Amino acid sequence: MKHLLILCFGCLFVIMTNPVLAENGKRLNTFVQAGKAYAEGDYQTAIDNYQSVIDSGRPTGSLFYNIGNCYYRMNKIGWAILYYERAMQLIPDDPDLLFNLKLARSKIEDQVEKKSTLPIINTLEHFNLSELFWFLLISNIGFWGILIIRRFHRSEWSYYSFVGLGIIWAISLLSFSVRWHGIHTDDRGVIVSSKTIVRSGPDENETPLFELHAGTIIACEREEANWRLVQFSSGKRGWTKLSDSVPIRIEKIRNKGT
Amino acid sequence: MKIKASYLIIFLFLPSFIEASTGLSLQIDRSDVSLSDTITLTIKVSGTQSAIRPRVAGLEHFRVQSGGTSSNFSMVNGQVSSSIDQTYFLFPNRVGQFTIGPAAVEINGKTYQSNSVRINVRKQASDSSQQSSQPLFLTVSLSDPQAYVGQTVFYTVKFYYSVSVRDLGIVLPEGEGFQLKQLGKPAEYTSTVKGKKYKVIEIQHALITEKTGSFSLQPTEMKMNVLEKQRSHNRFSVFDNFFTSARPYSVRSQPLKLTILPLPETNRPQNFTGLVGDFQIQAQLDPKQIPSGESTTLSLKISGQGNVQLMPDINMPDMDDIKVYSDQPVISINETGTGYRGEKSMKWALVPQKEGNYKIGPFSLSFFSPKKGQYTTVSTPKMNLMVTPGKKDAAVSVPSIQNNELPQVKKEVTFFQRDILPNHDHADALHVKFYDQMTTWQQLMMLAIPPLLYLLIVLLFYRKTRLKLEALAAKKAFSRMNKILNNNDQLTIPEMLKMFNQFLNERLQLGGGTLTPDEVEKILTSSGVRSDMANETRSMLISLEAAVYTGQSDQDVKILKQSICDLAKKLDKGIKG
Repeated sequence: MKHLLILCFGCLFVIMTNPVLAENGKRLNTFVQAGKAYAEGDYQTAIDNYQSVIDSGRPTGSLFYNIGNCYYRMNKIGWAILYYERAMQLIPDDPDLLFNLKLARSKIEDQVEKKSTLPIINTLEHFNLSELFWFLLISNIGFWGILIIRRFHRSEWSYYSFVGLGIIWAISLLSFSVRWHGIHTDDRGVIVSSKTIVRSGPDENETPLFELHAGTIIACEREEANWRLVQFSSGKRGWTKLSDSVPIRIEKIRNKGT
Repeated sequence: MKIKASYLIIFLFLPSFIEASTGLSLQIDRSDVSLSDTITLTIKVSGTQSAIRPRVAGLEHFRVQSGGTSSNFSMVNGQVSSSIDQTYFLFPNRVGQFTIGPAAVEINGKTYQSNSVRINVRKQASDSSQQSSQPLFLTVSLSDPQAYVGQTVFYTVKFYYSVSVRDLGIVLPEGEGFQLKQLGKPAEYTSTVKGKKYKVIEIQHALITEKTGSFSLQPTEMKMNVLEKQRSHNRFSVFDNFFTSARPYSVRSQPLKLTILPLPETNRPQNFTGLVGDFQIQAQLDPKQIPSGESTTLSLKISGQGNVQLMPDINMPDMDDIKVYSDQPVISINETGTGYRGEKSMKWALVPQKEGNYKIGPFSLSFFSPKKGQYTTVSTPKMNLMVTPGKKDAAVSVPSIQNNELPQVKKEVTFFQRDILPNHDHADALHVKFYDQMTTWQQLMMLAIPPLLYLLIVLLFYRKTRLKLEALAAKKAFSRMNKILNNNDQLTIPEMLKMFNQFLNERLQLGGGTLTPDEVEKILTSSGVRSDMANETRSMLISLEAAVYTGQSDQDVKILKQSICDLAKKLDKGIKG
């Protein structure tokens, strides 16, 4: 009877995990193929393979980084910066990514205007959401745990622990919230075409205002038909063709199937 | 308790702290005075607070007047220090050079001695005696009316006054070829001129000359406001002497002549750089014996008094088989009452390349001595540097001194060309983080579990507390009701019914509300009360309700009250828990 039970559970485990293992194996195979294609200089095939790995599961920072590298090799700086920026949301402190992004940014033709941001925002940009989530989770357990302890045992050490953990909990909650809000409301986009004319309205006949070049970061406001209202700096905004710029935010591209 | 202990420790150890720093010092305000001047002598006894009178030697040629005692006590960073300053005014009796001190004092059986000071007492200056009939006058003097170019000459201004003055301002002579610079703070003392007592302000100046020839120094002028007491016309006014008026006034000194002589051409040393005064030169080699390839430090120090800003940089001669690394010279100049004193330090790191015995020096310095009226050359002795065989393959040690000449040139790292770094092809590149695998709801749930758990515990804890309170209230239900019934003679039957119901609710730990007599009987029976007692309670409730609703009662209120009390007592004992 005992052996029969073990056999049944074993079969059930194999049946349940087999599709997952098979899927992972397929992803790994495609990833390896992409790597080979990149090594052979077939960058488009590498991009397609990396993209299919992303489509078959969840994206990782390294996959975006690799796609960025492929586009860099194809001399498509706009697309390269787009994928490097996407990778920055997942692996913001990766030294390879920071190096390549800096190099790609140096090739942008347009002069980027520096935006002043709070130091805390700059600091938080070095952490991804996963790291901040774990920090919040641990401090959350600690904070509510000490509150539970204090229901039954009130002492000096528990009071100071409560105050300390309370401060850490508040910092972690604030950090996670700010970073989460920053990522989920990120309206930045990248000019991917080599050159785009920004017009005063969503039509080819509208007055051309200024031009932007590949890799320039813009703020995407809204879309109308095949046009997107973008803002380069406080005084420079207008309409570009939808295909000339791509939003950085990963959720946006998922929803649109880009 | 801790504070008390701290005080105890402080008071126990305080005498030892003080005793550890006991000392005696003696100082005077001026060392060169005229026969009519007053000298202020201060004896500082540190490390004690007791009034001790020291014995001072060498005061037989002075009339001594006590100037009072002041004591100081301080505690800084746990270091306790205390001292007593005893001030005396000395009036010279005769002209000459005198030594005052040492002062001696005996503290706790131990004798302490101070330093000694020398005083030069001159004859009274003729300029001051000539004008001594006036209440205010100004005198100026030169330390030497004939000096060599580069020599420091002292220009002394003395302002004598015997009336109240304020807002003093001095106008010094100006002219081409010389410059006056004040030395230190003005000295204030009293002096007696032709039997009249004056307060004196003495200001020392250094007269720096760059040209030769005869100079006429214009008079120095002292401007001030003289305070005069106003007298009221009313001879009985109480405000006399309170009001003063300030009258502008100025006094001028006599002009002076100064001759600046050129430095003699004869016997002028080759390495003379214009240094005039009195100087010394010292050299030190440390260490004097080193292995080959190691370094040693040669230090040269020039010190002296005069035109110290012209102290030269000593050049290190080229030496075979020794590498020389020079350090930046360090110069320090101080103003003193006797002129400018200075010190210049130079250092070299010497790295012999071969073993052997090397001769270092001598190094010489030439200056003109105004006292001797001739050029003087001072030299350091020759020094031997012994270099023993060293580790030939070892790297030459770098001298510890900072030097621009050190052969260490940092090179900026630059890119040959730029390219991106390679792809991420490790297995972790596909690893999706646990956070990214979770949905938003799962993330929120993970965060919500601890606070929910806390709320659950709070609720459970609250229920436990409530039950405890209810049990306590049940135990005290009878005593509370009995107290009210006995203390209140004006109770009506409805009030008694209400109280009895409340007693039953509390004692049986019911939620509240009014129960019917039948319900009460059932609950009492289930609570372990005997059936006859439950039945009696039921009957009591029925009769009370009947009395309330019909307004008629066949029982006396007092008897009813007693019946309720007796029944409640029995119920309180009969109800289990």
